[in-house]
Amino acid sequence: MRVRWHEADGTWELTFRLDPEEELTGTVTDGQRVELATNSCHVRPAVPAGEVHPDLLALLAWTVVAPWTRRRVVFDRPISERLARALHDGWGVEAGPVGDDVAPRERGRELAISYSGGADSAAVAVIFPDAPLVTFQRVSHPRRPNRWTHYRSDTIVRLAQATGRDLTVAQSDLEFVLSHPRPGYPEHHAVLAGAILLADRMNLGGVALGYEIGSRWLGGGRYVHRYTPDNPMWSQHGRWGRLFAAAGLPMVLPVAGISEAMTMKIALNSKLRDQVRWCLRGDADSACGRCGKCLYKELIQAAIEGRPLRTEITADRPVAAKWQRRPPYGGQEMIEYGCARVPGIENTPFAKANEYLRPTIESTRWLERVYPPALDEVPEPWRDRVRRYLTANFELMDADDRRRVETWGLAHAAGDAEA
Amino acid sequence: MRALVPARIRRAVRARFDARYVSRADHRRDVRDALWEVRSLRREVVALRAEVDRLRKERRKPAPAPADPGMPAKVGEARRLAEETAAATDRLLQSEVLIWQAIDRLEARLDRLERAAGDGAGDDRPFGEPLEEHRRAREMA
Repeated sequence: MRVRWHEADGTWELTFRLDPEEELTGTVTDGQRVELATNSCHVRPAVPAGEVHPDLLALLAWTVVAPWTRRRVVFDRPISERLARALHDGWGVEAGPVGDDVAPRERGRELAISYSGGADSAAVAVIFPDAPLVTFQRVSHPRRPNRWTHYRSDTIVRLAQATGRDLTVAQSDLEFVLSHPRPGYPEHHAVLAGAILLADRMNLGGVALGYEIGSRWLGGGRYVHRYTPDNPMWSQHGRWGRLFAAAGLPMVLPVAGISEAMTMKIALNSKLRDQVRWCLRGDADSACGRCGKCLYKELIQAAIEGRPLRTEITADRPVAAKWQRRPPYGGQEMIEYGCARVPGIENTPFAKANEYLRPTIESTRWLERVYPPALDEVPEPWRDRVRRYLTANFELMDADDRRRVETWGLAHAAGDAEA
Repeated sequence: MRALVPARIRRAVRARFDARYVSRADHRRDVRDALWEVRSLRREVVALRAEVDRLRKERRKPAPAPADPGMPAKVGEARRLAEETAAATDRLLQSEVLIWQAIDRLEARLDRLERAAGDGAGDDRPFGEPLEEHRRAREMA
């Protein structure tokens, strides 16, 4: 893989070329197979990035090209030996050129929040009320007609602006380098494009994300759906964690110790309540109420508010189809939490899931507590702030709760192995 | 002057008079009906005034063109064309990536041949070539 950056008028263009052994098909760190659509993309932060350390440019490029890189990655300007080593140790790729005179990037002092406007990153913004927000805004790619206009990135930005917080928007078309399964981040970390590019200008020593316990510790989303202390995307000692640290920009996961129900509780009890939006399809006034994400998040919200489900979605709708099948589900811990608490769950699209899972309030109480190893994993100097906030608002998990985390999904994994 | 009139005749005379006038109950109903009529007329007048205002404000629009019976087919055709064009563009873009890959492979091979034909000192600079390629790509762009 060979990579080139070109900056003009504040827009950073990334172009890359495949090595002979590389193919259009690649694999994301979480195992998802992806297909390359085109070999260029752009990032445009709302403020000029100025001089950017070559390790940051290499890191940002790597969040785009990693799925397709097999043996080596060649950048257009020398990188530090430290970053090259992190790439080599993490992925087994030869990375360079290494400049003898390129010092590793020194960590700055500030923490920026990668803010999407959803409940999880809003909770992070509540924990760090003075930290600047950086938001990724999808824009069209000059070479690919946008056939996915239902995705309302303009709404997300407008809501983020309405928070009144220090906000920097980074526009990018990098999601359109994917043709399969659909446009999206080549690696999840590409969402950090703006923060990476502006890290020097903003004097950043860390970037905070809203990944919660399901994503960090339970293998949630499209990952393995079981306990993952060594999660390669999000653990500090995983390959991505070490790479970001090598670039002087460690990832910070302030809410990795709590569940989505608790991040939602924090967000909806905060000043940001009116700007919180997890739906990617709604307009400026409201969420769409018809997509799968609206349904899933409504279950969680109904649970924390102790009320029946408010939805017009019925079990026969395509967006509710996955809850009619047998578990495991991505985000299953929240399905259990919701089913145990929402009155009249047997008359909702989650009735089937409830029958399979049979959760109780007692069996899901651990999802209202903090997983202590997640606190230990927050890098200094922000660990203390996170620990104080979370322990002031939630109980710590006891041994039984921790056992539930640390055996999560193992039964399914064993079943898979036997099958 | 008072004169005694037999009760039977008195009743008959009174009945005759009563039959020529409207009863109290009927009067009340008539008044109520009239009031109701007035109220509903008032509402109608208000509605009519609003309608007049609306019509006054409304700009005269040309009558819509008569429906094109072939339109659904045209819409379907346009959609098919858009989807196929987008898919074709995607394939072209992917081909372009592969063509660049082939060009790079040939260039690398040429470089190796040139070095072999030269003084033979040919150090294999793994990170030197791409910079050169990038320079060329920039010139071509």
